[in-house]
Amino acid sequence: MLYNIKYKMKNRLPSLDLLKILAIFLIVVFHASYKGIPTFVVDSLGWVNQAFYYIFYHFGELGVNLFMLITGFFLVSSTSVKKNKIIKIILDVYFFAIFSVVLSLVFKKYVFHIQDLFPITFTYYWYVTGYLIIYILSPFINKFVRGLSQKQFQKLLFILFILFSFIPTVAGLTTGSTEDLGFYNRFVWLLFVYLAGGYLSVYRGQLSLMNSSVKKLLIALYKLLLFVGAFAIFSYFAQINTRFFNIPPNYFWGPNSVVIFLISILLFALFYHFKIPENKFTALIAQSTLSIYLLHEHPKFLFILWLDIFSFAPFYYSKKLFLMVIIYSLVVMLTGVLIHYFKKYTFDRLTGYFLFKCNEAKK
Amino acid sequence: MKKISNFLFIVFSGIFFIIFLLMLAKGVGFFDRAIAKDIFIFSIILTPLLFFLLRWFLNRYSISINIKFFSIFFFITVFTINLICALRLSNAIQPVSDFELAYNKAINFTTNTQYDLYYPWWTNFSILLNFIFKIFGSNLVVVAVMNSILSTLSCVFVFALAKKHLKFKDFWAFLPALFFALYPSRLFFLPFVAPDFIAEFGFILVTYLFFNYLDSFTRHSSSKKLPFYSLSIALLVAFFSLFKPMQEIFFVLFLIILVIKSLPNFREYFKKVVYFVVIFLCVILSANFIHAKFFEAYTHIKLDKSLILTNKLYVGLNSQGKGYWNPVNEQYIDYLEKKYGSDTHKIAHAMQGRLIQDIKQNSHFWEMLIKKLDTAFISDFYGIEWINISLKSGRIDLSDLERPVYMSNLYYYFILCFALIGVFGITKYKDLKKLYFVVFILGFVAIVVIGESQTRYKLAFLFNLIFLASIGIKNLADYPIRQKIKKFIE
Repeated sequence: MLYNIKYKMKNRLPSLDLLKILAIFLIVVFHASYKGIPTFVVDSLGWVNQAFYYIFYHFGELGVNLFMLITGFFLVSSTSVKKNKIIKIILDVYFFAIFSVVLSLVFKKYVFHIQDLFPITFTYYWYVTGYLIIYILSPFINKFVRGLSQKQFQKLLFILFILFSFIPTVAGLTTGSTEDLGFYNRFVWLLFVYLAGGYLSVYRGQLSLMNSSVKKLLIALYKLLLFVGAFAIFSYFAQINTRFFNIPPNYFWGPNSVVIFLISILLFALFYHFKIPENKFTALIAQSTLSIYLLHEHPKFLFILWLDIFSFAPFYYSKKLFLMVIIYSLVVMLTGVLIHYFKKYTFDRLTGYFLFKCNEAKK
Repeated sequence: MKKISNFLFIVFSGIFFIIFLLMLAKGVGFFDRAIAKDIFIFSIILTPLLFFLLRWFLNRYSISINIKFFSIFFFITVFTINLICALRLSNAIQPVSDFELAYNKAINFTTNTQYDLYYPWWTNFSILLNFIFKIFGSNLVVVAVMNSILSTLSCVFVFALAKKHLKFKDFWAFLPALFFALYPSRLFFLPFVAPDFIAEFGFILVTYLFFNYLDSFTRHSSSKKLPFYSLSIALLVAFFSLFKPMQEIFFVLFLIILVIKSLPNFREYFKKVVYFVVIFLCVILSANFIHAKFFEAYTHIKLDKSLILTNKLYVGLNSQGKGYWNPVNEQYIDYLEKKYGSDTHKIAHAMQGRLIQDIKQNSHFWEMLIKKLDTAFISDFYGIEWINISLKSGRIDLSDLERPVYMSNLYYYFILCFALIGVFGITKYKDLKKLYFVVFILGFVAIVVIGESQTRYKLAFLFNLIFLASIGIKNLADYPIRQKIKKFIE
């Protein structure tokens, strides 16, 4: 069956807005644990704190997959690229990059590198760089996809899944990571997830996944989570770090691990099923997710944020540690939302005005 | 009612999964050498693949085996392996500890108050041996041959259980039998003068009959068979309990399984459950009474069930002991016997009081229970350990036996790992016979936690783990991966 969109896509689905919020929360919490708690401390955290550490660590990259699935879901129907959107993303990146540099200067921890001037090129925000490239290429990708029948599309996805998820997940057992293979990189993975999101969008009417009951999806999710939990407990106690195998407790954390990918797909399908009425509050936060990401991901500011501003050091051996991780993450998210709306009514208006003038001049 | 039944499936499977996952992980973590961990991982990855390929190969080339011929060949081989192991090891060892006592009593019966009063099943075993020795002579080879026969018979019933009750077709039914026959600790334990192989055979036989009973339970046409099965099961439990206390565990196990079985239509099946319980209790109580009388006539010792139970709890839960019979317990019982003479009620009462006080004062009580679980389930090389202790030529340092110890443990972890996978499917398909194995093992866990705890006690319960592991491997090999993928992406 040829690519054929029977109805016009809505730009927003409240339930997917909620999923975006969950995704960004998972990412922030992951960064808080990953960057805020040094590796050498982890072993002495006590088992409850360690359990939370590995849970947060494990599901951070889920957020990345979810964002790209949502992007693919909505963008696959598009046939053109909006130049203003590209410029806006680039300006957003510079706004937050400068903001991060200023804060680093305030903390007297800034050392200038020439790469700081080109945060997109040097993947300071790797997801945004990947997203931008996919966005720019999207008309071509979409056109290519349109030329495929459902069977061909399935085959393509299956082959890509085997290449970039299944093989790395199995082979990674020997190195401790699913992302070490030479033919894999994050951009290729984002492209695959984009295609998967597109497939779910185009054939959503026929896919059993998109039409199965919430109960079934929840059971499948529960099983996967049970598997991850059991695997983590096993590798934690068994300490498999041998000549042939290296299996850390958070082995499946990579976005391309089979488990994380399947959980992403199931979560996406689950949220797609939720019938949530339009909600201004969730829409407001969902629109700020890029800002929240840009606020806390700059490599020169990341460690200042989690080691100086929101330091977890006083809580390392406390039962409150992971409550604090959640609270600080929520504070970062809230700050990101506030800055987003501040930017929207100041910086964005100003840049919008200049863009408008430029366009006018062109005409 | 159905929800309660589903809930119970999840609870039992969940508890089993958590306990044995921790045991497996801790056990593998204890390996000093990385190569052992590597072998474990390789075997876990390659086994399902091997069986998947084997299944594909047999299907593709329509190879069918003559089950009858193959069964005979298989069980003769099993018996030969058992016999060779038993005889060769029997030459190298001499009875020690409990085995020595049992052997000596079997040759020349004398009463020993502590032994007979607290562990009457060992005395019963000696009486049985005494009878066998009178016919075949008192050579240790007789015990080795007897254990080999019992072990092979158990293996036959494992096969029968898999074929008839678990619906394992063709060569699949040999899988649990093969795992069972080659289990290292069982092979190493064959020459010992111990009632474990009798108990193991009893457990398996009773399980086989109980599954027959379950099949007839909901069938109206075969309801006439129910009293026959109930009676046979009760009689067998009563008989085998002479050599290993198993009445309590079977009673609780049967009750749980029957309640779950009847939950979807409880009103209809309630009567059947009551009949079973009544027959079971009547037979067991009568058997206990008759046994006590015979025992008293033979040994001049009056058995006290409450003293036996209290002693078990005392040995298992007092903070000074290590969870099994040791000099601390012996001294305490000597003291009680001096104080109260032969008044078993007073001894039991004093022991209870001391135990409760000890538990209250023990600030590490829960840690002690976890330690006991670890002792019982974290490793499995008791066969080698006991062979070493019993060597005629004197003990070898265990570090010199590293390789066989590793192999024995690896085998156990392999079984445990697939047993955990086997448990996954139980909640999905709600197969009561599979849940039976889980509840059985959990019953054993409970006994170990509150009673005596030794690694060798696992022997008689092993078949449950082996069945679960075979279910796990079969589930993996049968997993319809193509259909699942198709369903997922289409």
